Amino acid sequence: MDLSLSDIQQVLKQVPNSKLQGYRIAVLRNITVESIIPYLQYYAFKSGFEAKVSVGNYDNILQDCHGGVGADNKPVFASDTDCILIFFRLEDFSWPLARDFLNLSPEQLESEFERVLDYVELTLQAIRKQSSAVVLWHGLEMPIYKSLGILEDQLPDSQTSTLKRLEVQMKDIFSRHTNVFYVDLSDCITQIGINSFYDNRFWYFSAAPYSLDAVNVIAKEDFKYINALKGKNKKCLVLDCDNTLWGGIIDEDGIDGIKLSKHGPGGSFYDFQQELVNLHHRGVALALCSKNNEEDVWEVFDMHPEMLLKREHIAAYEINWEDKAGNIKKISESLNLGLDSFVFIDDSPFETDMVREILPQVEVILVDPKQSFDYRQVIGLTGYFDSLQYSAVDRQRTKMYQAESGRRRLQKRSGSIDEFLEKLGMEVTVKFADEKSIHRIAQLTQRTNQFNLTTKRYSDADIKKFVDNDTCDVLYLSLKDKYGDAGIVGAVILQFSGDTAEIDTFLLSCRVIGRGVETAFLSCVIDAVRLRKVEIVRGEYLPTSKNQQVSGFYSKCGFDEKLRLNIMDSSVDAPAYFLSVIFD
Amino acid sequence: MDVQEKVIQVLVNILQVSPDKISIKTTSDDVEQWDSLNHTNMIQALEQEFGIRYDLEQVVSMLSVREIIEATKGKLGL
Repeated sequence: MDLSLSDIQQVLKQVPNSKLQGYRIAVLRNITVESIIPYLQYYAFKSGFEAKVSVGNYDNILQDCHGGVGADNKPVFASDTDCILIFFRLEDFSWPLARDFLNLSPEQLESEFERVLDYVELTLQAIRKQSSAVVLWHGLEMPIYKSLGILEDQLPDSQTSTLKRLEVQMKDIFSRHTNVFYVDLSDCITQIGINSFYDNRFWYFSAAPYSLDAVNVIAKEDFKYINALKGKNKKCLVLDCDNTLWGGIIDEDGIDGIKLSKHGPGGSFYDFQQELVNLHHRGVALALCSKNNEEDVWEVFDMHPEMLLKREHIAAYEINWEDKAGNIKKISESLNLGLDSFVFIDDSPFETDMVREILPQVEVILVDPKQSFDYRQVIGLTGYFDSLQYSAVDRQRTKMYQAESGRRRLQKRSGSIDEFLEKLGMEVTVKFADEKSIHRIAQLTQRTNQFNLTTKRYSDADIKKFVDNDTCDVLYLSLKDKYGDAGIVGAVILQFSGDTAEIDTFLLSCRVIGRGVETAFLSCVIDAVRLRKVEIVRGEYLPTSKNQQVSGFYSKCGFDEKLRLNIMDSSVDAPAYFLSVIFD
Repeated sequence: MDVQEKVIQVLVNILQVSPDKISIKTTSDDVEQWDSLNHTNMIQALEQEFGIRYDLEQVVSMLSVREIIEATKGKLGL
């Protein structure tokens, strides 16, 4: 049971005298969220830190990253900051995307989409110029009231689908920075439900959207990351046996009398054991601490047909009639793991109270066998063992999975993604630019940042010059699919000199990334080059902070290390799932 | 403990002031720590304590101990 705010404030009174190591947290935000401060301090205290929290200026996230000062006239964060929490609520940054989605034209949507991603990138860059603090970016709350109701989840271009794409792209940006993590508020909301998470009264009173229960869950979630990074996550789980691993008491009920089965009421213990086995595979050390005769316990492990937990999963054990605190200490010594990395589960209040008293560093959980149906959650929701380390074994396993799926992908080109893309019924049309399309093409060169190979910005007049120039070709791509006409979403500018066609510009609107449209486009571009009887196509890639995702585009399509392609020898084919690819 | 005593105790805890600073006559103007953040915390702590939920109008207007006690009693049906 979580402590109330008053209880937490009582606990926090101990902090100034406890001489704990400091942990500096800066909170950047576009909403009121100061109510989280005592919770951050509380979870920091539980992990052995004294948190010093500074809060940035309201809706000044980016400005605070450029030396903004707080109320105390000191910079909100500095090089000695340990952790930066960012609360970036979408509806405060982009009301159109969050609340007015149905009113957006495709151009406005694209513009807002890019604006969000630009802001994220700029903020992270500004932070990294000054600090290597871990950044926890909170987001992206999905709309509670879906703009199209039940239709939302069925359409790839609905608000929900769009925001999920935005989230994926944001996470992509995070992954390209060091120590920047995405804290999914949807997970926090799921834990306590929307009605408990939001308190609209305080939103309208002081722009504070979250209830105290909400900021409690958020702070807990934040500390899963902080604990993992500081090595404060737990490493060993000590388990009682009777009424914890199985229902009943082996000494009294015998191996046939205890409750443990895949189906029926004994299933709660079976499921709990499966979670324990999962923890074992995650690298957590499992230990037994039971007041029993050893032979009785091992008989269950070895002989019970539904026992999932086996001897090989157990790293250490103390099965005897001595006190459990002493036993846990022995386990700690034999495993060479500190007691502060231990979690102890038992169904007896006597045992849990005693261990709590004698070994306060151990995290103690009391379970109620009458509620064994909830045992699975006991560990699941706490995140005690969460780690950000991917061990060598995990890496190896992942490599194996990846190799397998790669092989399967090559064998059968129509994977489920291709089938989905085929169902979209995409029609690509590529044409030479004319008067009507010049403005849109210029606009795309000015706005597009992500899928843009050279990021050269042109005005309407510049594009007109290219169009009128005999040694240049300007091409645009329009996309239609089952759900509508996206209009002009791609542009290419070719410059011909001698036997080479130089690709001055190759860009795609971010809305159509991830569908292979670029490959279809490139195949048409090569047809355009063929028309001029030119043999060599040369691409150019000018790296910016925002277009790293396309750095390998040309080589993926068969261009050499100098980004040249001889179209007499090789060609680029549009993926088969397009309904039509027309070069006019 | 009656409603008045409980209310005062919650305020003392949330505002982190000594008990002699809060009485039935106290208003938000009298206590420096009674800012909008602590006001919000106070409302939620009172709601947790009494198991009630105030209206938005009450949230906005409960700016004195007397008004808090009145609103609380109202919600408790007293």
